Amino acid sequence: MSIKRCSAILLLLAFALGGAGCLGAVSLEEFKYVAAIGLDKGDQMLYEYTFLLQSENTSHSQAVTGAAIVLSAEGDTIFEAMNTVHASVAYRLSFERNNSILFSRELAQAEGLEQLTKLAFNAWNMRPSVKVGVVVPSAHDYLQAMAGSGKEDLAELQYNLFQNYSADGITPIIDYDLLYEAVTGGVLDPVMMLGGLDTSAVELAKEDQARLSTVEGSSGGSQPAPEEPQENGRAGEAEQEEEKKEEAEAEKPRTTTDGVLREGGMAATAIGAALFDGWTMAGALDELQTKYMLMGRGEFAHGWIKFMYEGDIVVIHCNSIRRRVKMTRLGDAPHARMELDFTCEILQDNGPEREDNWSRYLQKAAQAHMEAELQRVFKDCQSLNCDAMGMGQAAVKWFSGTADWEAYKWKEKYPAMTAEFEVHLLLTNKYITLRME
Amino acid sequence: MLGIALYINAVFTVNAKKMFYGSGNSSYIWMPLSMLLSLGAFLLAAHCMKKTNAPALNDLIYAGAGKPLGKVCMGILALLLFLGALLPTMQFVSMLHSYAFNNTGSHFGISLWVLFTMLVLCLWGMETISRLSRLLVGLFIISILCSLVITAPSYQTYRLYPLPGNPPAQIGLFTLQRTYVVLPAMLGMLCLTKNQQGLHFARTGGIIAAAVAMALAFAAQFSVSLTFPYQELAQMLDPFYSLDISLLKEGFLFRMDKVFLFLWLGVQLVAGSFFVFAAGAVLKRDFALHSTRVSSVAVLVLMACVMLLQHMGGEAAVNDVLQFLDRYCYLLLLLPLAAALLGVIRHKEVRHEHQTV
Repeated sequence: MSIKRCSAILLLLAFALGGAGCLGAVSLEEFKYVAAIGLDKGDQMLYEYTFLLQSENTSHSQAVTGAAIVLSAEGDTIFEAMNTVHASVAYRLSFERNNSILFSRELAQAEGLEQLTKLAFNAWNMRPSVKVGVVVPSAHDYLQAMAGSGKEDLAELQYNLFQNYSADGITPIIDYDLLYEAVTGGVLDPVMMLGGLDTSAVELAKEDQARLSTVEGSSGGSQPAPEEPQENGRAGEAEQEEEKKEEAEAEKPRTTTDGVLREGGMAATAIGAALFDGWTMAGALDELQTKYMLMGRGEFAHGWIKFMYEGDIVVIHCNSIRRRVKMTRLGDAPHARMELDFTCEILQDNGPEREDNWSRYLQKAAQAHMEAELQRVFKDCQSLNCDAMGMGQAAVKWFSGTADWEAYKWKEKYPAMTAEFEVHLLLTNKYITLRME
Repeated sequence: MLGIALYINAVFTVNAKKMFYGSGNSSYIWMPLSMLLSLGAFLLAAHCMKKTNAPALNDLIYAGAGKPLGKVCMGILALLLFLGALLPTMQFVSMLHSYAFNNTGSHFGISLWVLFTMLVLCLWGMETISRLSRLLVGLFIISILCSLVITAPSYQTYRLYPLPGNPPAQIGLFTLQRTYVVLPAMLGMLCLTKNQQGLHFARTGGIIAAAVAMALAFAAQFSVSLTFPYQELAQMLDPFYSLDISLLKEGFLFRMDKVFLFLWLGVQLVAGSFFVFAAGAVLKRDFALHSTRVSSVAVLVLMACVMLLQHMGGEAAVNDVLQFLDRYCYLLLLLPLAAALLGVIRHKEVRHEHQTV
């Protein structure tokens, strides 16, 4: 091989090594990955930033998911908070895997979300698909509760959110891109998950931990004793412990979420939806209202509906198949007619086992119930000046040019808008759901 | 190769975003239409060459406009080919800096790597460029289709409204304005017919390339229009790449964006090398330079100078020039096209005179 060719190959190799990042490589262990960022109002500075980190435990053969860590610092900007955090830890924060940004309700009501527009997502290697949410009482406490939930893998927690979204239709999901579009696009308003914190569950977790450490401490300090008495002693101790446990179980208060008694599960929960008028949080919906709001918005996949019929509870499971909105003008005010088609199955019904029970009675009752609920939720959203159901998406179809649409000023017309809802339920699997088989 | 060059230049080089997207989005109409218009002009030029038996476009232009004006026309064509290489390269360097190598200081370091690779390809010549593009085209099409499929859950038809986005006159103007990024590639192909396999091959290749690129550009822009509203498009660095980083729901293809970015970069390097080589070939033939390789190196050095200027504080000035080019550069194309038409008329006159004699 000639000298020329050799030197050309060496030169190419040198360029390729540099280009592939083999020179000046950085070890993964130098980073901790931020899974979620929380923003609260600060005491000394403008904001308190909380970072929920996912650590990686690397062994010789594999990398396994480690525990969650919470760090927080105050700052007027995220950069100041980062400086404070970096000065006190032996690693650097990486935002590449950041999945959510949570705002406290106080901040969301004070247009705090506009802060996001000033953040250079690319500079932080953060994707615009990062989810945005509002939490009460504070983002710091909410993330603390997520970290202390006992589940080490935060990805699993985030996966749960999507499960709720698609399976029960009770959690709205919005990312930064959609939020920005909703605020600046003018055809719908932002709606996002409202997270709540069950403080009684936090206290319970703390008590459990304290009890566990006491038991560990006492067992660690015990001295060895003769074999037989030790066995008897162990049996006695076990009995006593069991009795104590039963007593504690009986005394333990049941935790509540949004006024509903419950027990078990995480302290950090999804309790409904936060409604926005532009960048400002205007109000909130509970879980049930969220379900109907998502139906109107066209983001409801499937979930159950409960209604009363002749004193009995009836539960049906609905799958959304079509949403049509037709917008007309009634004088100066717009009027929407929304048709929603669902396939459904009856999950619970104590009525008579008759083949025509659905077509003659239940169907009409269920449809009327859903239409009334949709109307009620629409009015609630309208009173907050939040186009949560995205009626603007239908109104924009009137126009053939953007100049005309922008001059129409949809948000000014929205408060006077009227709407009617028509729900069509199509029963599937008649023989099973009507208990004919 | 021509198809790749057409697609890359059409989809990745919209500089005056405020002008094209600020008052509505109809890019899925004007982008394929500009390709169709360019294809029409390309076929017309090819037809003229066939009629006059001109072995390459240069000969036809000289026959129509004479030597001095012909040189001006070829200079314009070389300039447009140079821009065809420069604009997507600058865009990809910006994308690499924004999405892959951020917080690394100047863009220029990245530019040098890109230009160096193009230099190697240009030195190896047209055959290498063509063969490489044949190797990459399948993967490239698959990556585009994958991008469109994985973002499908984000598509919403309301984002297309108000329909059609821009008034018809504006759509027509945008169609004309965008020809300057696609037509030079086709005319460049006609300039290289003498060294390649003749006019017939170039014509057939051009039709297939334009048809495929048109279909893909329509699909890409339609997906972009279904995913982002016009207000956002007016502010985005690259809407097509943004498709892959704006997925609401994470899936197993969620983080394919970086893979696609580097694949597209590879394809752009090949397409850019084609433009540089074509510009070099025009300069060599019409401005009596020593060899195509030497003139290609000169074109690359010029590109490096523009990029250096951009990164040494001249960003605003370069952006102003790019905006100006997006508005008016299409007018430059009229001169070589008119010269080609004149070539046919003159050829007919000469034939008529011969017949009369």
